[in-house]
Amino acid sequence: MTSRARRVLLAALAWATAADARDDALFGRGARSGALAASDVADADPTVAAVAGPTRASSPGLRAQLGYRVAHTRMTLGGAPAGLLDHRGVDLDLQLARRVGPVDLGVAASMHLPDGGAAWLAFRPRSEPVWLRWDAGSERATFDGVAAVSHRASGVGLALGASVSASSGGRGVDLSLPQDERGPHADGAADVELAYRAAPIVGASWERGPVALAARYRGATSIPVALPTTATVSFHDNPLNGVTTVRVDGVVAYDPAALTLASRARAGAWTLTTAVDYTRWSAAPPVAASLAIDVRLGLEPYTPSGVASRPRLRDTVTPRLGLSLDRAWWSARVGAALEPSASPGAPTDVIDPTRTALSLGGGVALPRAAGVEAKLDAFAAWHHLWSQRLSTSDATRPFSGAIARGDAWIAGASLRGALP
Amino acid sequence: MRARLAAGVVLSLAGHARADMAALVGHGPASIAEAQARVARGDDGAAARENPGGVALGERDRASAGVTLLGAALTVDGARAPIEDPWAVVVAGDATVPLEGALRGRIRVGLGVHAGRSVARVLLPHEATGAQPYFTNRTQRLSVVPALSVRPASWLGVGVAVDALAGVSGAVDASVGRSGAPEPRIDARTPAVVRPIVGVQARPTRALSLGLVVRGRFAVPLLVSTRADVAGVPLEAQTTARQALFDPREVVMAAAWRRRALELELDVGHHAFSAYEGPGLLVAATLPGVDARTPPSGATYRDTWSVGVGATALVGATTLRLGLGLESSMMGPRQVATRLTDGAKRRVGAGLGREVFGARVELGASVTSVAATTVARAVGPGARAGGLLVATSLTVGTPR
Repeated sequence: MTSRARRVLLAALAWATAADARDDALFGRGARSGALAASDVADADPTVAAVAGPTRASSPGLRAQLGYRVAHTRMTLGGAPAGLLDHRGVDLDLQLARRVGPVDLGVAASMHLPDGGAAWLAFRPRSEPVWLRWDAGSERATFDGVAAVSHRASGVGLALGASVSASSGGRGVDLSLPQDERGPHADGAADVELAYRAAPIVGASWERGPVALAARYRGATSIPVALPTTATVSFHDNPLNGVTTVRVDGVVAYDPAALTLASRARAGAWTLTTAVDYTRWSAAPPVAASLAIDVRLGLEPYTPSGVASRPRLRDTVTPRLGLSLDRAWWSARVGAALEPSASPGAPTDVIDPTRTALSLGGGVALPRAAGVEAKLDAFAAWHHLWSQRLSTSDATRPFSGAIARGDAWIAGASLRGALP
Repeated sequence: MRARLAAGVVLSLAGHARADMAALVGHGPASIAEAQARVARGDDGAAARENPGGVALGERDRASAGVTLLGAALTVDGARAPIEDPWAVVVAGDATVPLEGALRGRIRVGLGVHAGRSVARVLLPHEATGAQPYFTNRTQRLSVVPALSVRPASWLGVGVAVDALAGVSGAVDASVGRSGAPEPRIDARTPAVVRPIVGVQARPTRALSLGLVVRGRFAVPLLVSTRADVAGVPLEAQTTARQALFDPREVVMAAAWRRRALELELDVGHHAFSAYEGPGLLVAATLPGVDARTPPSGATYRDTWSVGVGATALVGATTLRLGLGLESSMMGPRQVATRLTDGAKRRVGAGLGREVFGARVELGASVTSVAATTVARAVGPGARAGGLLVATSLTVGTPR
């Protein structure tokens, strides 16, 4: 195989993949969090508390935020473009809290709506490589909600909530292909159900003056997909006469459970935020779908199946750092993060290069109108994916030995409004 | 007869059934009791769906939550046509955005939520299965309707709301891969489906209220292409349902009259069911030497008109509600070849509400009867349908 043909084949293989990690986990939530490389868990803006810092939902007031984010990816596999799609979507955030006796009580909700629809349910054949984190399925609609309480005197806060998603199931599709006096025709019935799924969000924090400590746990989320299709064929002299059942099962849009420990320290107009994420990639389900075909054509049952195996991933520890300068009407922010590969070993079909993220941004306070204190924030970030060599046990596969690398450029803006 | 009716209702509650009660019978007890005739008066969270313009004219911040139960004794050709998932949690809320200056008290938000057993469930029957498409597989889904409403004048409210969900469109390829085993490739999108709702409510005098609402069409597309190799023989099938969970475009005009403790409202609605393609699943299959397709269903649909009358009376500390409604059939009396049938609907509802221990408790119920109808067919015997749909709702909320 020539080098050029190999590149073309690699590009064709990589255009659509299974999916992992949601956008918020990759880029932060909102322009402020994005500029701080998502290190703001202990100092999150209350508007995005449901995603970034759950206990901040108890900060008194009414706040709302509208944001938009674009992530342009340029990944390559074996020198050929990986063909991963850009991520674009709208963020909506809302937070409300009141003082009640010695405590503050609040709720917050966040929703992300990708431009391309609620989700992209994509699986590639299990003999083809998969890009972890960057696949299309990571761009999906998300809804998070939390309730929080904080004790003003002690500075202790607690939060509990859920990240809500759905699973696809039901009895599936039943096809009937008979032949009668009308000739061959088709009939079908379907029972497709999207069931609720929820993953826990737990937060705890302590704040005293310029120092704050926080912990956040987010349970794993995913979209299980089960697509059973039964075809009953009774045509004249057709080799497929009989009952054929095709069942596809898999998990898409997997976002692993993550525990984050974070801190904040203020000195004058400067604020330093740090966070460390422990992300449990080792519990990830198979990145490919399993398939079972049950063929009963009146002869010997034919039941081929392909069961996808779990990827050999390891848990990761990601340090994050952010620094901000806040003046009366403007702010400036920078951030950095280092996320190690969850799939560093060999052999592997899972592409996940170690990633460094550098970000910067700022914000300005807008003139007060109708009692609303508004701020406009913007950020830009560069994520560099280090080189990773794919190594499989099957040297005949076209991607064996290929180098995966790439960059992603992210930009976003948020308009925040707050009422006392 | 009464025992049979009760048994039918109980069986339906325990059995199959589906429907988002909010579209069929109303959102919450007041709407159910008044046959959904509240377009000119509703100003709480339920108005987000009924007429978001009314949300602007509400005066307080309110919230309520409860449950709605549905029971059906519907039949097609003597067989039960059940309604599954016969319950839903109902949440409603409305509040004034606390702006200052010229916008003070002029912008309000509302939220109506109807949450059943699942986010959505699409049931598409076989061609030979009889059904009443007005009730079957029409709206059984999570419904979250946020509304933003503006009050440009003290007597006028203008609002917009959205009702959104997602469809499915994609391909499943279950062919043998490089490993020699079947390796599925799935590429399915879930495009967003949005139903806009725009409404105006005006109260030009203390006694008179007027309302107009336009609700857009809602239909979830399902398009799945499947390809599989069966012992080396290719099997391809495309299944399509362009209008699952269908709600027609609706225009409702309403007028209400108030005098002391009595309110009366008349609503007239037009429902564009003629755009409906039916609840069936279209299949196109390709096998060696054979192409097979689902023949046209032959069912034709027509627009319907509805008339609703709602009444509210304050008797002491108790609010009494009453409603009457009529709606024409969405199917004509002559069809070519279908077992789908529908008849004219009549509805009667009643309810009450009062404050109990500082909380507002509302209870409402309605009974919708479907006139026994026989649809003549050019092919085969006619299909006969009829029956009853019973709705009950109870909510507890903040006091008025």
